Amino acid sequence: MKILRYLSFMLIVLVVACEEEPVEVVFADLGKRSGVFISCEGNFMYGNSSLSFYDKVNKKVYNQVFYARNRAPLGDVAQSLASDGKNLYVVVNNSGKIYVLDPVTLEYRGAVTGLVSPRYIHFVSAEKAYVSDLYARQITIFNPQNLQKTGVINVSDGSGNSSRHPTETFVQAGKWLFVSCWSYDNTVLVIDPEKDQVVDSVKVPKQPQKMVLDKNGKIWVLTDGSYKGAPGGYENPALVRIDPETRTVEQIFRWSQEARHSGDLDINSARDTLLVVAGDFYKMAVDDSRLPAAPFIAAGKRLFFSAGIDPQNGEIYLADAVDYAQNAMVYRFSPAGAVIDSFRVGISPGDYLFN
Amino acid sequence: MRRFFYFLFWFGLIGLPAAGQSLRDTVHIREVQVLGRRRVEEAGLTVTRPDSLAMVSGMTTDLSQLISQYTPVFIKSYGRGSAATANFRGTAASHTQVVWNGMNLNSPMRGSADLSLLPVFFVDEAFLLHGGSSLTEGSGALGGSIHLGNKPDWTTRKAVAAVAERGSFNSGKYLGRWQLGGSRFKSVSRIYYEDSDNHFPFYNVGVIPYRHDTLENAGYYKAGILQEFYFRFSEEKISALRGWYQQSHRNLPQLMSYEGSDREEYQNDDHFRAQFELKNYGGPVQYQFFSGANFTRLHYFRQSPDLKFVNDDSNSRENSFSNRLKLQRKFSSKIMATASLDVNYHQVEVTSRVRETGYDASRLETGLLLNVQMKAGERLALFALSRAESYDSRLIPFIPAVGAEWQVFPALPLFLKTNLSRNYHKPSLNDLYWLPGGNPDLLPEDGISADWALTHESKTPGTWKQELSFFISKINNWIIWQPASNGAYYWEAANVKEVLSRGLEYRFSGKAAWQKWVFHFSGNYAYTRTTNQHAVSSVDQSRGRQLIYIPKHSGNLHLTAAFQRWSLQYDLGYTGRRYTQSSNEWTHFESVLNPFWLSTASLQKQWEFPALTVSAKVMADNLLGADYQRILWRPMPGRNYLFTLGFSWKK
Repeated sequence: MKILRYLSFMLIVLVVACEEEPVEVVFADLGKRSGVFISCEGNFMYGNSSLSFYDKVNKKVYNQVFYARNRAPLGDVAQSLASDGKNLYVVVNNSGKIYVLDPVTLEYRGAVTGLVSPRYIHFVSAEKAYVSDLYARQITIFNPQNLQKTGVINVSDGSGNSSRHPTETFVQAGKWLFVSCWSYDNTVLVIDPEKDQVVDSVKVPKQPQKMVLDKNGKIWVLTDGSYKGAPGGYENPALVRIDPETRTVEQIFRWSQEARHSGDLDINSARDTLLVVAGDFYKMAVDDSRLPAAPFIAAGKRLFFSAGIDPQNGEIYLADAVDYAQNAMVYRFSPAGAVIDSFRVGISPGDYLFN
Repeated sequence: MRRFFYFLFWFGLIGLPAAGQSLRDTVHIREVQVLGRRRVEEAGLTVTRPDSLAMVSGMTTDLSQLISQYTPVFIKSYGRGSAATANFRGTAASHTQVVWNGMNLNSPMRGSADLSLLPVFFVDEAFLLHGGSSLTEGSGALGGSIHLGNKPDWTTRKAVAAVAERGSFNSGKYLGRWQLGGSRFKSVSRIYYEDSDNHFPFYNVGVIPYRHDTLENAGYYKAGILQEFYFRFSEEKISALRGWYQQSHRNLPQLMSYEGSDREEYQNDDHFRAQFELKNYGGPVQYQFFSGANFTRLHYFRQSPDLKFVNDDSNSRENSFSNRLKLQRKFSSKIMATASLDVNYHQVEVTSRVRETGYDASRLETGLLLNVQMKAGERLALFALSRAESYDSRLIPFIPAVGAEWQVFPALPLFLKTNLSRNYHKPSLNDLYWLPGGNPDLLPEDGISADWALTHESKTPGTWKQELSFFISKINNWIIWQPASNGAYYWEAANVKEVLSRGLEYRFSGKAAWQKWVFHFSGNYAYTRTTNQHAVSSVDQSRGRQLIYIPKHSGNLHLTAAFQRWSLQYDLGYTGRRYTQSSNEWTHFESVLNPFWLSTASLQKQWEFPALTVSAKVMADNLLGADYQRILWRPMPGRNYLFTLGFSWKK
């Protein structure tokens, strides 16, 4: 009997140890509302990326909207968002796919699968889109109408260095499409989107990542300079201005030794002011001749990870990743830098798509 | 005689005879347990010894399975055949030190040990030292240490044992052991080989639409050989020479949500360990000396075969040399002192062919221990120790611990144990030098811990034993990898967290007889509350929250019913909810790992002939087909089966 009592005790302990199931997330159709979709990268190899929506009129945030609508995880590292007006595209980097969603209901419409390490999308036309890739040494071409892959643009430099060229963000300047090559690279490639061919390249400082086009038709590139001890060396991060006509670097603005690392680059809707996350958050007129001396918004103890600029009103959304292992805090600022609101989204919010 | 009968019974009951745990070895383990003899050198220490039954039952498994089933230690496993590390009392994997015959097996590069690469068949005894109790054997085990040992069987001249096991997913294990020699010399050889396609079916809820899937690129093989030579110069003076070579190839499967191009990703591990040991149990001063070397090669490779693009191709070489001289002196029947000197050297070279990065670093470590154990009365024993250690150019002069053990009632085997200690853990060489993100300025992690344990044994030896222990520890300068403080895209190591770990551990074992039936039961339960006490900013919600992947509740129950030569065993394991976000979010249901129960049942029959024993066993793993994940979005197999055949012969 003693034995039975002890065994009963152990079973009770184990049963009590069970806890209730989690609560489901419920939301209405979000795509009709004025707000911003925010893709949250999650942690590499955790498969915990997510999609959030912030209703800027009602100041209400909806998290995990992809899961709630489609009952499946978004995947591993949601890298970027894109829209062609008909669909919402979520590039899921380490799941090797792009989810295609109804922009209003977020219902799953399809996927472009079989990719290596997709990063960003550029829509060339209604029937042609490019996908940059960190490892494939090629840009994948697909048809947004049927989500079929239709070809590739080979970007390998033929040097035998397997890491060249890891394509990243796109900027269209006139007829030509420019794509940055980030990891261990220092190149911006020039692509002819009519022929789907690389036609030229521009050498820039180490590890160019984000790019924007300003009101003067110039391309701005943010480079992070790699890291100390990296093969090929390290250099301070820089803002680089390229003339797309001549395909030459016009100006390099180096961050000082003390400056914190560069992370994100945006431009306002008037395309006259650059907005840079570099530890702190900086504003710089495209006609300025030097980097800003003081931050526009100081990070303090916050870890500014990314920024989104509302094209309608110039409001700034700045993400504090906190410890990169919990839901991040996003601060909404007026164009003058006053806090309007703050809200939590998923882990490591990386890209913003305004509705 | 009765004890001997029980021994034979249990050995025949569960023991794969081929497992060949030698008669002498098993008796040795049981002698300690059955007689309840209190070891003075273990006074005040919290020690767990998986009993001989567990050792034999888990003979064909790896150490991670043995530990997770038969001790309160939580094992973080990436699945069948994949890497598995111990989270002792809610601490990090590097805070558990794994020691083989006195030689530390933790990787100096990563700081942790992969328990899935340590076959139980290659060890004869195992025990765990919890928390500060581990300081008696070494430093750095902020959670605790796992000790593995080999011992010869001097009573048997020749013995051969073999086990073959086949299972679902085209899995197989083959173990062999043979022993030769007389009363002065023994040679013990062991080999093992296991492989599996590991292509189990699962229902994939990580993609749209859900579908029935088969795990791909998850196959593995592991093979090893252990050769031991023992020389007995006298009854009290023995030397040993051991060599252990092992290699493994493990494919690394993708997450459930992966729908990208084909990936070829694998990890190869090669280990060679050698050690020389000299022990002298006689005379006023007993001594033990060992010198060992541990060479590890790890190759990680990942490519997209369609494009012939190699993402990563990295190699690491770890060379470690360990030396220890341990002296024990009994000053009287009541006072004993131990002193030991350790001198270890580690050299690590890491290269990435693709990235053209890496580092080459070495470390010299020295340690000095002085431990005094005293029997202060018939029912009270005490110990006090201090360690002094140095590594690189850093000196840690004072790592103290004190403890006591008190028999509460003279006539009742009820013992109260307690200890209080300070401990340190050195950063791994990756923490210091990895490119990018290694931080040469890291401080060692600094912990203080206390234990209280109540142990009760039945008056009839072996019938009933239980222990309830409480622990609390505070670890400062906890090292984590986090995004670079300068905002760079890479992660870097930093002394960030203060972690408070507290909880309780309960374990019991016993047996009962009814007519011709004999029942054996055992179990354990752990409540582990491990929280981050440090938050950088006001919006940081990780303060006071459970560390990720550490369950608050976990436990196991084992029941065995034996009738003549038949035995039926049922094992039930429970793992509580685990969080994957530092803020312990769980309303977002993909962020939390739900609790799960796992049950296993096995039926065994044994046949005995003169000098030969044969056994057969069938086992159903995950008997109830539980759908669960140990790691986020990594599938686990449903019900699967194993068939084991073994034989042993001895002369």
